[in-house]
Formats: sequence, structure tokens, C-alpha cells
Amino acid sequence: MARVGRAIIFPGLLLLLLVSVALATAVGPVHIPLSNIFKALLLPIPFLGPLVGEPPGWVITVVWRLRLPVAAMALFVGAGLSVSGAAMQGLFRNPLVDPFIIGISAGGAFGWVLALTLTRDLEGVPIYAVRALFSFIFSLLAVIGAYTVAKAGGRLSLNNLLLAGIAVSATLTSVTQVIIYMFSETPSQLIFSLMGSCSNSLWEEVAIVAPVVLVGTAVLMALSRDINALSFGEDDARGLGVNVERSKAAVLGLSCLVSAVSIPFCGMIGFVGLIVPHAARRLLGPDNMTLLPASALLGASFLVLCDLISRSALDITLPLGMVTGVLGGGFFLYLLAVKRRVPA
Amino acid sequence: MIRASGLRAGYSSDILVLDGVDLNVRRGELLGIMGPNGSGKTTLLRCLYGSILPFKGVVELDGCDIGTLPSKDVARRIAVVPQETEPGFDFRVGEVVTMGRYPWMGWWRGGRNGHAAAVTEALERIGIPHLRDRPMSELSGGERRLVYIARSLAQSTQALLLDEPTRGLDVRHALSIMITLKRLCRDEGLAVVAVLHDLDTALRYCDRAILLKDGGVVSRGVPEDVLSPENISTAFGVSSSIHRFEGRMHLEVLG
Repeated sequence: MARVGRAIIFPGLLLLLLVSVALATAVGPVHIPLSNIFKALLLPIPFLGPLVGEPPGWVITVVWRLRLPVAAMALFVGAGLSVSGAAMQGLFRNPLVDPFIIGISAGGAFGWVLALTLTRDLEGVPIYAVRALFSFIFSLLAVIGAYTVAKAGGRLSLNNLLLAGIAVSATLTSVTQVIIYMFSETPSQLIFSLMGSCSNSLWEEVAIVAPVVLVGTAVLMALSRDINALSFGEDDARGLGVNVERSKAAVLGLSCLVSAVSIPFCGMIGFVGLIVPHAARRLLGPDNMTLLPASALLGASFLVLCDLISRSALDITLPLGMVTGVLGGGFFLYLLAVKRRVPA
Repeated sequence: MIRASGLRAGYSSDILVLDGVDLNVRRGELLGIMGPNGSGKTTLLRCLYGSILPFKGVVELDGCDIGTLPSKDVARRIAVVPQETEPGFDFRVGEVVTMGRYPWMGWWRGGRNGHAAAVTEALERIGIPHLRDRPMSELSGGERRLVYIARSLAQSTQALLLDEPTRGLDVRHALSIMITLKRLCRDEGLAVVAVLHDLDTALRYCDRAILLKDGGVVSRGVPEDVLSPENISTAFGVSSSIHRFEGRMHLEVLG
């Protein structure tokens, strides 16, 4: 696949995102005619809104209170996971890395299960809030643990961070499984919830995730040259004027924050951060200045569509992480099969 | 321009790679670093641009301790062509050479036109403008070498540090790189430090030379003296002779 001009790619990705969001708002348990969907979507736009007319009140409620926050959540979570994956792959010079691999996901799952187990017999505890807090804190604690080990001796060794992250993940995953096995009365339900979901998202939650993702993406883009230089190795990056230790810590911290912010609200949605950057790299090449925003847009569309599929493919709502795994895994295999140029 | 004194350096505190090395390179001068494998040449180069800090001793860049300078300031004055560098991803030649402009770019890559001109000039100077849109993975080892040299020129510095600049290059390219380096010294007053394995090349192009062995200096001075048969024998354990042919000195390794 040739790298196509940026001039076409970015408007194309934006269009894809708009269409994905429109689709996501159009599909749901209650059938709403497309004309009414568009009327509801265009309603707040000056001039255009009044021009197309107002849909029935219940349509506005369904679109704006139920479906759009879910689509918006999927959008920002997908963008955040993808941007952090792209940045981490550049930093580690390794196309198989994303923040989940170095502990975010295992830590999040541990906190999630721990919170549910601890609050099980307590009355009047806001379980949802405790779960959100625990999963977020433990996801970051897991990475901080791995980071501390890898930083021993002064300089941060990225190789050791990767190994330590995998070790921390393996340990926490085992402990999580023990907790589920010993204490959970509904293990299958719990395991389902661990695989992530954007349904039931509220605007209040989107308002927390969105700024973190937007600011994080902007700062990572400002660091894109450092990431480019670091993908030639630390010695070379230093020769190009990169403050190596500071940049590594900044890229790592931002990547982890941008992906961990989704965990309290949506759980562990795997695979997005791993595969979306690959697809974006095929479109635009490895320059992080364009790769990061392209990954954000592509990842946003991907997760909005995956969420749509998870809600509408079967009679039950599938866990989002299951859909991203199946679709993403399949797409990834396809990319590997058709690729000519080795990205690494 | 770059002055190193009393360098003791290594990668773990119990093994010293450099043990008391002094070095001074002035503007307009091509300094060759020679020595057998493992004698500390690359480590010395790394110390000179602050990629590793010596345990003892100091590297001064225009009189300032390099350890106290921000890395960006160093990169505006010293460009580096590392020995072997493998990009993690498949960048294009133009993108790689543009990275030489990074130390000069503002927060959002301001002044694109000036940077593009510097990149074009660097590519033309090394004779590879036709490679600009090629991915690095499709280039030969020698062509990649040329790309990194072009990148270092795009960096518009007053000093160049090159680790085996001619390795993997065919005779024509090797010759033209050495002539380019020589011109940069003479005409534009750059300070150039190059690790060279080809002693004959060193003899022919270097203004001064420094010969290392086991992290220490065997000899320093004009190449003809540094590469004397006695010194070559001490450093490499081989016999050699320098002879003149058609007005030019040649170094022949005898065995």
C-alpha cells in the first residue's frame, strides 16, 4: 500500500469519523428514521438547525442523552488508546508495544476486581465510584512499579521496562484470577465486565476523558520529533538534541495517562492501541507528527464502529474488548499477510 | 572548539574503557581517531557530544562544560554520525535528513522553508538528491551511511563527529566523503573528528591524528608521526611502512 498524500488522508479520516458517529447514533434498540436522526444532530447548529426543522422531543432525548454520549466516549477512548500506542511504539522502537502491555491493563483489572470484592458486602457504598478509582489507581501503580524497577541505576532502560511491565502484568493477572475464582459469585459476569464497554456512558464521564485525551494528544504531538529521534536509538536521539531521559519519561507518562483514563469508565479495551497505529503507519509512514493525529482519528472511528457492532450484532450486548479483539485481530492478520514492506 | 581532558569513562564503574584521554580539536581541522577494535574510539566520540558523561575529567565545548549544556544547544554546535544506527521504523530518506533540522526547529516545526532548503542542500552535497523519497529499508548499507552523513550536514553545526564515515562505502563514495569533509574544514572552518579504520585514508586526509590503545593514547600529532611503524606496531601489533609515491604518502601494512 503506497503512502497517499496527507491532503487526502486527513479529510478522509475526518469524514470516516463523522460517518461513524452518525451511524452510531442512528442504530439502537429503538428505530428512529434517518431524517429524524439528522434533524436531531443538526439541531444545535445555528441557521442549519432551524432550517431542517425540529424532530420529536423523544428523538432528541434518545440521540442526545443516550446514544451520543456513548459514541463520544468510544471516540475519545479509541483516540486515546491509539495515540498512546503509536507514541509508545515509537519510543520503544518496537511495533508490538502499547501501554496495556507494560501493566496498565493488568493493573486496571486487578483494581476493578479488588474494588468489587471489597465492596461486595458493604451497604451504601458507591460501588461504581470505588471501582473507577481503584482501577485507575492500580493501572498507574502497575506501570510505576515496573518503571521503578527499570529505572534502577539512574537511566531508564526501556528494555527492562518492557520486561518488568510484562512480569508485573503476569503477576497481577494471576492474582486477579485467584480473587475471581475464590470470591466472585458471578465470575462469568465479572470477566465479561473486564473486557470493557462504552455503553451507559454519560456526558459527565466524557467530560473527564475528553480533555485528558485532547491535551495528551496535543502534548505528544509536540513531542513527536523527540519520538522520531528516539526511534533511532537513544544515542542518536541525544546527537539530535533530544533530552533523552526527560523525553522518555514525558512520552511514557503521557501515553499511560491517556490510555489509563479510559479504564475507570470503560474497562480494559484491548488491542486498539496495538493495531490502529499500524494501520495509520501504512497510510502515512512513521513520522509521528502525522502518525499521532492520524492514529487518533482512525482509532476514534474504529472504536465507535466496534461499539456499534457490540450493541447491534447480536441480541445481547457483546463486551467491547471482545469485538476489538476479533475485528482487530482479523484485520491485523490481513495486514501482515498483504504487507510488502516490513515496518520494523 | 572541543577540548577533553583527563577522560576516564566506561559503561560500568569497574571497567574503564577510557583511562586518561586528552583531546583538543580546533575549527578548520580534521582530527582522525585511530586504534584497534575495543580501544575506546566510539566511547571517546560519545563523550565528546555528552551522550555519556565521564567518571572523571571534563569535556568543554567552546569553554563550557558539556555536561551542563542543554542537549539542544550541543546539537546546534555538534552533529554526530553514529557507527551503526537502525531506525525502528521505515522512514524515508528525506524524513531522516530533516531530523538534522530538529535542533533548529521551534515547538511546532516553524520555518519549514528554510529547513527544506537546508535538507536539499545537504542531499546535494552528499550526491544523493535522487534518494530523497526512498524508504530507508530499500537502501544499501553504504547508501544509508550517506543519508546519515547528509543528516549531519543538514544540522548546520560547527563541528562534526563521525564514527567510521567511510565504512561500507565504495571507493568513489569513500573518496568523495573524505574530500567533502576536508572541504568543510578548510572552506567553512568546521571542526571534524572522525574515527577511521583505514590508516591510509587517515594519513592522506587528517590534519592531526590520535592513536588509542586500551583506552589510552599511544601517540598524537601529525598523521605521519602518529602512524609511524613503531606506533602501528605498538597499537595493532603489525608491521607497516610509509612511503612516498607521486608526491603523496601511503601507508602499507606489511603483515
